[in-house]
Amino acid sequence: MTRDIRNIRTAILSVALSAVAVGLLFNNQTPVIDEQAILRELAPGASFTQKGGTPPHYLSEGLVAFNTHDISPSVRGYAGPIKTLVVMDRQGRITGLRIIDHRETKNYVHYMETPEYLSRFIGRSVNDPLEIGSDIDGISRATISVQALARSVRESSVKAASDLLGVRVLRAEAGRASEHAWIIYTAYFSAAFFCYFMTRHNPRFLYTRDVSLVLGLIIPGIYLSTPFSMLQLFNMVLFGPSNSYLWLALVISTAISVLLAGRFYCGWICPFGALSELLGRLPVRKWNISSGSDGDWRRLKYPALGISIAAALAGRRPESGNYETYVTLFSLSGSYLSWGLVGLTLIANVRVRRFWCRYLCPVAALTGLLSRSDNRYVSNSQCPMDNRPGPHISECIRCNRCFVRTERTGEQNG
Amino acid sequence: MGDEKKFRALLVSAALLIACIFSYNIFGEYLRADIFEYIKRRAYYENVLKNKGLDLREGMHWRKKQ
Repeated sequence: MTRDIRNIRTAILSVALSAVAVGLLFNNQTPVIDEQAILRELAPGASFTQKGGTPPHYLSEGLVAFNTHDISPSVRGYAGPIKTLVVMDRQGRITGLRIIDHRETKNYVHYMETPEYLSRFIGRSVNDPLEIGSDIDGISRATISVQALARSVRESSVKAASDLLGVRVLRAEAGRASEHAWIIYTAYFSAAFFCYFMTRHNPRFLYTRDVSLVLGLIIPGIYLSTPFSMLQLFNMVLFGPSNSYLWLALVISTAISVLLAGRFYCGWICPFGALSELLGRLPVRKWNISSGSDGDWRRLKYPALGISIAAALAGRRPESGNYETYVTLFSLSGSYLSWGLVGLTLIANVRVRRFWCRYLCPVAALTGLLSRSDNRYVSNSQCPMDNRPGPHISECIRCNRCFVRTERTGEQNG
Repeated sequence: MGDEKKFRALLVSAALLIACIFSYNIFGEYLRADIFEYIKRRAYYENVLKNKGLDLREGMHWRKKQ
């Protein structure tokens, strides 16, 4: 098994490197956006000049238009800049806008792109706050993206109005919208991590894991709608790290936990894992699956991870590699096929414990491959993953129910 | 059907669904665009060209000319 895992690790790394190379060689062209054509739709009848000047802008009789990214390039959403074309009248009032390019996850921001949502900016002046929660409605599950949209429109409009139109902007520069999500997540994660180490020393505290699972479902799942997913890694590889604090908290905490405690995230934090485990505790007879068949099928998650990485990185489009059920479930958005998979896996958990985590989850596959060996996890009949005795560490979610407090010598499990 | 068979059927269905999701993610946009274009062409043929007694290919030729 250990040699198998080494081979899989090498194969996945090769797939990732090849996919990045293919993406850079064949799919690295920036899409050409005809801004003039969009301006004709935003301001029918107006004839705009070519883009030019400082800051870069288009001029028409009574109107000025600009791409927010040209003026405020540092404002980023969850995965990169949200480029928006804004048309403004001579009094500094927004008369039209459209998002022309972004790399946010579609599941979360599909409503943000609609004319219905964008119409909330129309008629606003540069002297309005243009802030989420103040005069612009937020969108649950897309908070960081809409905050970035509002901020880029606000900052670029103020600059364009004062520099190009000579409009006196009365209000002070709005501060960055407060972002408490990362503090809540970090506090929860730290508490769970502390409990993890505590239960290794004293099994009396094993109940804290159940508390952590419920909180995992509520905090990163329902409240923040941001479970850790492959999309975050794909975005980082393709477009660089996000400047969202929540993104940083999620990625850094998960990376640290993988280094120190293997699949701790799966066993203590993951909201979909929590839901799966809670469903698996329903008093329904579990299917009797032979150990050979179980072991063979558990490898299915590795080719799925490989295909996901290849699709996302070679096409330079994170969504191409997304089949993650937790993204669909907690963003409440996805295709019928994705919802079908969510339904199927949730039902399957009733008969097969942690069905998704054992056989299909790409995050489980990746964190398992990166886990360091620890032969104190021996598995027993209470294992939430139904691991056989002496499991490979890549299958252990560190529930600590089987943790042996004295180091065993002899057989290595990783 | 035994547990083992049901389990295998469940996993194969999930794997097929994942394959369909990948295909949809990668080719969905192109397929959707093609399908909508075809529906538009077909609707134009049914509403306009068919009444003039033209077939689809001939009709599209004259439409381009116009």
